[in-house]
Amino acid sequence: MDELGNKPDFWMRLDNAAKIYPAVKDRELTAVFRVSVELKTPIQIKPFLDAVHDLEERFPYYKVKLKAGFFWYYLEPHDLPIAVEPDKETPCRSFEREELMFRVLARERTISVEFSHILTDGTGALEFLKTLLLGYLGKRGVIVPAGLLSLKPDEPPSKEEYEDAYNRYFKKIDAPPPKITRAFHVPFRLKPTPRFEVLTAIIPIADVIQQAKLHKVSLTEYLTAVYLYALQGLYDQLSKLRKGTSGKMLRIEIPVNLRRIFPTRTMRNFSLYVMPGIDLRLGHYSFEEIIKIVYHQMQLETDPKLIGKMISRNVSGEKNPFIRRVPLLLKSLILSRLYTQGTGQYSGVVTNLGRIDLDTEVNSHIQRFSFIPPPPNKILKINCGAVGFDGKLVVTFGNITQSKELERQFFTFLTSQGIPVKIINHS
Amino acid sequence: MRCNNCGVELEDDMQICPLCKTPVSDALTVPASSMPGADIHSLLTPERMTHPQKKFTWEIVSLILLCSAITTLLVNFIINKSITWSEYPVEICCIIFCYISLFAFSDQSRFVKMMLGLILSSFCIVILDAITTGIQWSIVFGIPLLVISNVVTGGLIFAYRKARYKGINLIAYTFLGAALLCLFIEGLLSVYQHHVLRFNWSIIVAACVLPVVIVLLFVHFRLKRGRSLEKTFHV
Repeated sequence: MDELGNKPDFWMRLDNAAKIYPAVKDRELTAVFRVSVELKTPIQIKPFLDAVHDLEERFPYYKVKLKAGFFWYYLEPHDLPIAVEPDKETPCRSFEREELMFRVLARERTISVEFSHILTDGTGALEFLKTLLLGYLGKRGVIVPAGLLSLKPDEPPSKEEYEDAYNRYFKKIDAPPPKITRAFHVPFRLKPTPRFEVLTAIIPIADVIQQAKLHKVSLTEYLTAVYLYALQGLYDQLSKLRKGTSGKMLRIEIPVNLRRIFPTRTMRNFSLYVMPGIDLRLGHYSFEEIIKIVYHQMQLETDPKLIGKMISRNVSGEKNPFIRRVPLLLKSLILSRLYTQGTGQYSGVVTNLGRIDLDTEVNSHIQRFSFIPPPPNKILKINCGAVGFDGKLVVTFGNITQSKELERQFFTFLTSQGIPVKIINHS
Repeated sequence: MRCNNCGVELEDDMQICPLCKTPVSDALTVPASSMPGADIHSLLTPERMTHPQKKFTWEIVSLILLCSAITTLLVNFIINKSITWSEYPVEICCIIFCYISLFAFSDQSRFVKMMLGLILSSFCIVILDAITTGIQWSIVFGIPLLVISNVVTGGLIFAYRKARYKGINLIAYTFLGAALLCLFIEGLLSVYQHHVLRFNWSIIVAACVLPVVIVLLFVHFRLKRGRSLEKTFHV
């Protein structure tokens, strides 16, 4: 505070990954994703609201609103209480201009948080949800081990939590983007608006891991291979004419949490992606072939040096003296064009938030976690998210088309491998 | 105790679910906005006057208008021994009365109220014109001026409501509205009197007001909460 009692003029630049979203987001393509936790007992509203209240000052980098500057968008503090809403509407709705860009939702036994990708990625949202969940359980008398909370509600946020870690790990190298051919995209017709629909399935983790181990791959690699196999099935169903006009490359974008490679405590976006894929011009692939390709491509592309190169490539765009001085309006047009081009390069997205394990006592109060990826755009049309907890893997497909054929092929393959799949009603 | 709508468990003393605002008992009709934890929209909507407050304000303003009209008429009559010029200020009082009555008692939207006010005011000036000189200026000058005044006022009300921070920016908007009104008045007058669109004094008024408006807006946006221009213009 200054002598006039004014708050310091705090503002933040958008991080490198967030910069594209203001240019492309709209009512359908919201760039909002959801992380939920279902408890074993109904939510008690008083301790729940108290737990939310305790976080009001803890995440100042989320209590911001998007403002348009002359050259770039930026984030400015927005002094509204955290929005707590009943979970009754379509998931991943867009945020109004005067709202915060995240919300907390509750319904029966489920607590959810929805974040705009402008603020953070899945890891940031999951940390927020964990802090809220542990605060709530603590207020309900559950003994929460002190070491379990990486972010304590009563501690001020550290500077590192605010940081744009892409900038921190940026090294200036000359790495022009490679030319990537157009990928295959599911041929289904779009639903009328509101388009976004979610299909969630619960799968025993042990069964998936057993299958993954048989092929000596990780769970993410296994799911990616199944996704590619299902996409290949869709391609095979196409007429000759459609096959001729559609892309022949099947690529899956897999977000990688960069915090595991480049240490940082940032709570903002810090993820990139790798894109394993197969080339259908070379013929039909067996599942074993696909899984082998996915494994080797993943091993290669997650190399820290290659990831570092990707960071440098992305950040150098934002640091280009010419691009920096292009007015925002023009820049937004360029960015939305780049986004469309970028999406054209892959056929699907598989986001795996990983396996969540809190503490035996805390775990005993939780039924499951789930993750709903942001609504896919009109090119991609379908995407997939997964999160594991306590022996259960929750796989969620976001879909804006009139068809569930991809999901059917995906889950049918799993069941054919002896993995039981239980579809649950999202609402 | 559980909320039937969103399924969360409520405290025993809660009569309304703080999440979805559903009353626990059907008999309960407490407005949602009066509950703690009222939703975001209630925080963003400015407070409105209650009906008794509106009525009280209307009474006060009406009384002031009545006194002004009577005083003007009396002064005119005492000085000139007849009513010569005072019908115009009285007419203005009537027009103001029409508007405040509509805004105090009508439940229509603000736009509809403005339109009704415009119709009533137009009727008033046509009557006055007919009584004094026969229908002459009211159609070609009076009603267009009323329309333009309504548009400018409507624009100002919109700008006031939309302004996130209400400070000297509102003064700047008012100056800007006044300058626009001056331009329109002179334009209308010149067309009415000389049948050509000509601007003289209103241009000078606008030219004088514009730098003041720029300074006021700059001070408001530049110095508001001590903010720097860096964030707006960072590259």
